[in-house]
Amino acid sequence: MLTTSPHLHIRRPSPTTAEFTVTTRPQMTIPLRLLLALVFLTRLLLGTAVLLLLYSKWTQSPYATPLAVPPAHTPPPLLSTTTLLLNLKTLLATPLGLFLSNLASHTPVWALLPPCLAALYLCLHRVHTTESLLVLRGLGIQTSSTGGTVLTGTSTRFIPTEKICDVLINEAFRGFEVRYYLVVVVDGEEDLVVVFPRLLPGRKIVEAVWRGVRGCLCEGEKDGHEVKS
Amino acid sequence: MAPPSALQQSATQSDFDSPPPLVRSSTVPTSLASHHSHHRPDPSHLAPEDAFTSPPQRASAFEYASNGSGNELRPRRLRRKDGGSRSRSRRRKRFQKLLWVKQSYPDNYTDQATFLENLQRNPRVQPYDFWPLVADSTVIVQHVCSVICFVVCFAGIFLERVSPNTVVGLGSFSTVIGWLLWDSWGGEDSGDGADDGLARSRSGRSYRDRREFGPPRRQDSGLGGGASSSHPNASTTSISSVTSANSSTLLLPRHAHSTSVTSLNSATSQTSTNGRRGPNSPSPDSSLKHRASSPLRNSRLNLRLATIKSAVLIYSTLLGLSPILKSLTRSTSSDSIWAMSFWLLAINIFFFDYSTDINPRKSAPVASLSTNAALMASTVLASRLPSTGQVFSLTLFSIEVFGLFPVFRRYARQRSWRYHVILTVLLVLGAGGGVGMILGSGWKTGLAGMVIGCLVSALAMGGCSWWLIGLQKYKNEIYGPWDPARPIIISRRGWDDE
Amino acid sequence: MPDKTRRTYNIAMVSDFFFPQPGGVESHIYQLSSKLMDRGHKVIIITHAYDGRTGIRYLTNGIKVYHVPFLVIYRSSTFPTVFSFFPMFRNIVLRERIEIVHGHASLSSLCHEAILHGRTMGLRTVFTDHSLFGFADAASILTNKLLKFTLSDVDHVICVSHTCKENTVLRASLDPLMVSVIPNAVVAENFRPLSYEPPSKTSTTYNTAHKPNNQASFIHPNPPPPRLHLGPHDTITIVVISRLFYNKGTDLLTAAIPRILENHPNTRFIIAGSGPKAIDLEQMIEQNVLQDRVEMLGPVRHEEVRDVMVRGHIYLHPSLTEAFGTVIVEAASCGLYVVCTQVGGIPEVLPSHMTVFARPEEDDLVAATGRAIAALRAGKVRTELFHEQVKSMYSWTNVAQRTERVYNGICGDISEGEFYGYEAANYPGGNSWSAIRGRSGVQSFALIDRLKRYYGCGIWAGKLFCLCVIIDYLIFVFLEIWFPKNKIDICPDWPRKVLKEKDPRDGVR
Repeated sequence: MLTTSPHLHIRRPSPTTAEFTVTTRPQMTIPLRLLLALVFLTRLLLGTAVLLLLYSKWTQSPYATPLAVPPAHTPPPLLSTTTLLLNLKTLLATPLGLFLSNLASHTPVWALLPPCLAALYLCLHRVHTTESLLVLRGLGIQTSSTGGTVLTGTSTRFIPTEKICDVLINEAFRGFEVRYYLVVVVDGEEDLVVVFPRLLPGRKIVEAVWRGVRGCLCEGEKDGHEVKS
Repeated sequence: MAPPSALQQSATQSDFDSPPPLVRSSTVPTSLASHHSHHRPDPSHLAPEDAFTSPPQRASAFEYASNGSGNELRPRRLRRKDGGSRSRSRRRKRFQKLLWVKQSYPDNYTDQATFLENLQRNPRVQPYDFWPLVADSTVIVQHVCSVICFVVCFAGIFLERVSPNTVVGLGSFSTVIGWLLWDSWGGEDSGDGADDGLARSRSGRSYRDRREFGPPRRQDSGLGGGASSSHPNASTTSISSVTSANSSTLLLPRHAHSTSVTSLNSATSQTSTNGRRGPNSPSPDSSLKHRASSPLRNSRLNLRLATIKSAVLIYSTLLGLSPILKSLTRSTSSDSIWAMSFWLLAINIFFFDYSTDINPRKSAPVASLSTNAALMASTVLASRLPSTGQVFSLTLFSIEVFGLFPVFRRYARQRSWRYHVILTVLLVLGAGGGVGMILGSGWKTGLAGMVIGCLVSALAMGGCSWWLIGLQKYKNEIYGPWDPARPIIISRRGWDDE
Repeated sequence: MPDKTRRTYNIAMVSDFFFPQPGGVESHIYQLSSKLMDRGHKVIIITHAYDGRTGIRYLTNGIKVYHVPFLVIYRSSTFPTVFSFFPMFRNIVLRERIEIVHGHASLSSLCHEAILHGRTMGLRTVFTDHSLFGFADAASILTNKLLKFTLSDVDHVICVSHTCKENTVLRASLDPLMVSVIPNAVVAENFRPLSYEPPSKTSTTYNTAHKPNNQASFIHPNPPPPRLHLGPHDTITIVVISRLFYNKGTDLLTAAIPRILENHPNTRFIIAGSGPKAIDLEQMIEQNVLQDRVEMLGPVRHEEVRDVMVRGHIYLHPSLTEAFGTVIVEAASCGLYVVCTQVGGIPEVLPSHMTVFARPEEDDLVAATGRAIAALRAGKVRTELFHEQVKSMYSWTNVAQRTERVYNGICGDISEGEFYGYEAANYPGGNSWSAIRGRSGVQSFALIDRLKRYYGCGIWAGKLFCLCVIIDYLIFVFLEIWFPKNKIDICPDWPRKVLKEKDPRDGVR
């Protein structure tokens, strides 16, 4: 519902430029936006709760140093760890905080940690994957791929034209299936550069991108070739 | 194109003279039982003869299938009506089992006349007869009984019913008697062998002839008393140079693998062989032509001396080892010892070399496992005994029973059937009586044990033989041209004497 | 497509044995596949990954090879996991739109698995047996049981010789009618005699192979080559090319060579090949001081075999078991007179004027070689004609044609009456026997029918096999749900060749 199977967007801002984007992001509609916002909120809450839980577990552990409570009449500066810790303490005093610290005190570490980490991963996991290939005639190719989590950014790679030996479609065994994938053969490199490495879209998309790339990179050459691998 | 008739003939007449019954096989493996040549069990199965049966038979088969078996029937798909007539018109030339001929038959055509014509079922199986089978089973009975005798002796010593000196005295006495007997037989035999070889060499036949037609006897093998029985070189060291050269070339070609080197040596250097073989040979440069009987006698004397020497050696070694053996398994509980010795003796019985051939070179590779297991069993049993003398006598007795006695039994059987039977009866009586006496208390139970032992062994021999004969009907060996051929190589490594 | 009546298939050849490994099965698969491609079919080959050969590759004329990553245990056979190949196999089959699964070699577990899964997926299956097995030893019993399992539910079996057919029928309890005999072939162009000028280039391979069969087999477009004369003092060279193993009869060879050389002064031997028995041969040479008359070449590559063969006049083949014996056909094609032991399928392979047969005995082998030498010296044998004759006897095009007939038969494109050889015309509208029988035309794919076929394999084995089949079916259902068909990309086909054939007769005999 939130994602679709990978589909292709082609943007051609100028005749010499083409951007092929493969994404799992569906068309944005109002209900979908609302839903996404809801998901975002839920994840925020869940993340906070998990962090609080871990913090309360930490305070209960023997390694934690007791919080040195400063005199009440001199409030600490706003941006300091002491403020943060004090705020956390007040948070733990709320009913939710009490419940969490209760939970933390009753659960051993080995049972608490894996679910917490899993929940954190769930919160940080990117909903949509978007990978794109930007072709600039005369300059080169730039591949980009969004990271798996919110924290990791988009990884991009630019390959100048003179380093590109070929762009082709290949087949390979992957898990229990055979997949088509688009590769760029780079001069002087042992490994091929796989385009759309995370999504590995199906043959239709790959073929369309391949034709587009060939058409854009080497203008004038007819791009009606049979798929070679 | 050359007529293939010659080939066909040579293929069909190859070596199977009686065409075996056609084996009908079908896709449904339940009908595998139909290897027995009864009538077609299920008409819906296809037999090779169905490939070109006449319509009436096919019709009846079809009726049967549609009436009785209730199998799933479906309409025959006829795409091309002319297919049948065309294929019929094609079938004019005779089908040939050849690949290079372009035949007017489809590839999956199965010719009834030639399909599986070279199949042989159970070609080398001769049906067992009851009494010979029983007679052969005496070998096993003998061995089992001797193992029982050993166990009984141990039990007697352990329970202190029997003095160990009696046991070892009796055992040693019988061993000496047996050795003397064997020695006299061996003397007669090797005398024969020498005469035989002499006669042959005088008659001027070539070496190769002798190798081909010579009797496959290895009478003069190494029963060199105590230790030499397990020593494979005993045969060559113990016998006169002449006989050993002769006998090693008198081998059958089928076990030529192991002896090729010896036969090679003997053949290449006929005159100098004798020097290389047998270091204790007294006349190293006596050629084959001069076969005096004196070196033979000399070697017999040597052999006896060597035997006595090894016997003394073993005796003293055991004497020295006994105190160590006594304390060998002190830290182990008796239960483990009993279980262990039971399994070791079982291994001994199951892996014993029951073949009647007295050629020690051909003995099964597991035969040494059997002997070793028995000796280990006796060692661990002996270590349960309290005094050094007991340990010594039991170990010595076990060597006599497991090391020497089997060789003697084999020779006795080879020598005379009567000896063999007498030995068997004695062993059965001894084992039965011994068990009876150990379990009971006196001569009466011993007698009862003898009777029971006789009965049980007779029943076992008869019953097992009968059972084995009954099992023969399940035998289904299949031979055919697909089996790897056994090459017949006569002059293996014999090229150098041409 | 050239015409309506001829149908082309998508075929997957499955075997553990394929290039880069050399061998008979490997070249059989390759040659058959390329000739089937020539006939307009689509052929892919599925094998396991070799060192340096992984992934998916194309061979010269568009044969696609899938080197499936699998664990190799013994002599390039994969580990027999009954089900682990299924997901991958299903993916390949669906993306290539395979209709017929054709397995090769009974020692290949990949092939057995493919046949089992292929039947589960509702494909037609063919199995080609290349080897002979006994019935006595434990390994054979196990292999035979496995073979029975796979072949309980196969559509058709192809054997390379009549002996092999008998053996397979017995081993797997098959109906003889569902076993076809289609021999191997040789690429005659690669095995030409030394002094051979090719006939006029106008006749293509198709035309020579598609000659109407009623015609005389030996057609000489140009006058026959001149007779070769061997005087009584010319040296006759005897060639032996085989792996030096026990079952190739190296012991016989070792025993026979000194006697042959002694009886015939102007002879010499060339021995090519390697193996554990090579040391025996070398010993024999040294013992008899035959270094100048016996030449040991060591291992030669398949491409060089012809160059070795044409150095000789007689080819000696002392094998103890052989399903077909391609090498003697190659030797005859090179114009060598063949002396061979009469074992396995060898007596069926060559006509008697090209061969001298011997029993697998030393004396007889020596005598037969003596006869062959005498015949050559007397000029009785026209070895220079052998090449043309062999060329007309064995061609891969013919093999492909006959294999295509098998495909037609199992797919129901020719009537079962025609395919199985009974007179269908005599029963207008009559029902044939039951479909469970397997060999009546097209086999039923219903699970219950398949189970019935497997159940009869034995008291315990039958139940075990049924269990395997049921599990296989469950895996199939699971895969259908988990990896739905429409998510699998369909491969584009290699442009198919159009068969230029005058009369597309389906039953080429």
